[in-house]
Amino acid sequence: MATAALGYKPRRRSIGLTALIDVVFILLMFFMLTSNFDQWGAVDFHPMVAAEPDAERKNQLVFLNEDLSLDVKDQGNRKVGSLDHYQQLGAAQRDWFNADAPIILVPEARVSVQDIVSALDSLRALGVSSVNYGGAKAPQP
Amino acid sequence: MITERKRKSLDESLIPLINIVFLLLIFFLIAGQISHQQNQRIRAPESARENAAAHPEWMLEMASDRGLRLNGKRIDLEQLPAQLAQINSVADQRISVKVDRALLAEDLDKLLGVLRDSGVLSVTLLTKATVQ
Repeated sequence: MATAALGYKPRRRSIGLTALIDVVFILLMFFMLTSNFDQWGAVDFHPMVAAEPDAERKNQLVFLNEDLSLDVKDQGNRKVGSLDHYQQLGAAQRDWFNADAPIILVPEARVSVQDIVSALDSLRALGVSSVNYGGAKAPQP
Repeated sequence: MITERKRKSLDESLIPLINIVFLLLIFFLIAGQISHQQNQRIRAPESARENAAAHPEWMLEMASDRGLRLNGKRIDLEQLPAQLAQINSVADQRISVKVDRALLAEDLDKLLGVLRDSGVLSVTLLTKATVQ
């Protein structure tokens, strides 16, 4: 009031740009270090319903061997081919499966998780209604 | 001593820098997502499918050395049923499992067997989505 009475305005102190950029840099560092850009996918596993009377007949069993070849049980244990081959499963292989019946993938015990997921991906790409993981095949004595 | 004029020109030269830093800040704010610290040693299997798993309430991790962690806390496979028994209505819970891609089907089966015996009905295997 006294200053106004004396005829000059008090100077408004502006925030210094250096202080502002310090804070913004700290915020930037925080978000750079804590952010994560990973995209996660998911494969759902549901327990097999053994109580269903005709579950065995409806399900289409596909065995994934240690050499990464696929055996389709309903096709007289027909070999589909190696992992590299079945990544491009085509229309010919699509006919081997009934699109309405679920496929159960049964890998051998020594098959890696990555190969199981790749096989599930390839079988799902065929357009079958449901592709499930059926647990590892017990090793042959 | 910095004169008023010099200080003003220094401030002005900072403006483009602040603009860029602000843009970067906005990018990380919008594009990034802050999540729990994940176990970086686990290399999740790659999958073409992208189901965008939501942040799971229960996360079970198995590293390539078969070490197990439930929500980041190290446990043994033998202790897992007791830990799961403490979860309220475990059958209704969706448990996310993150396993190393190099693990074998027999390792995955052991884990899924324990979960099944503990009454878990829904298990989601987390995969790293790949761009096709």
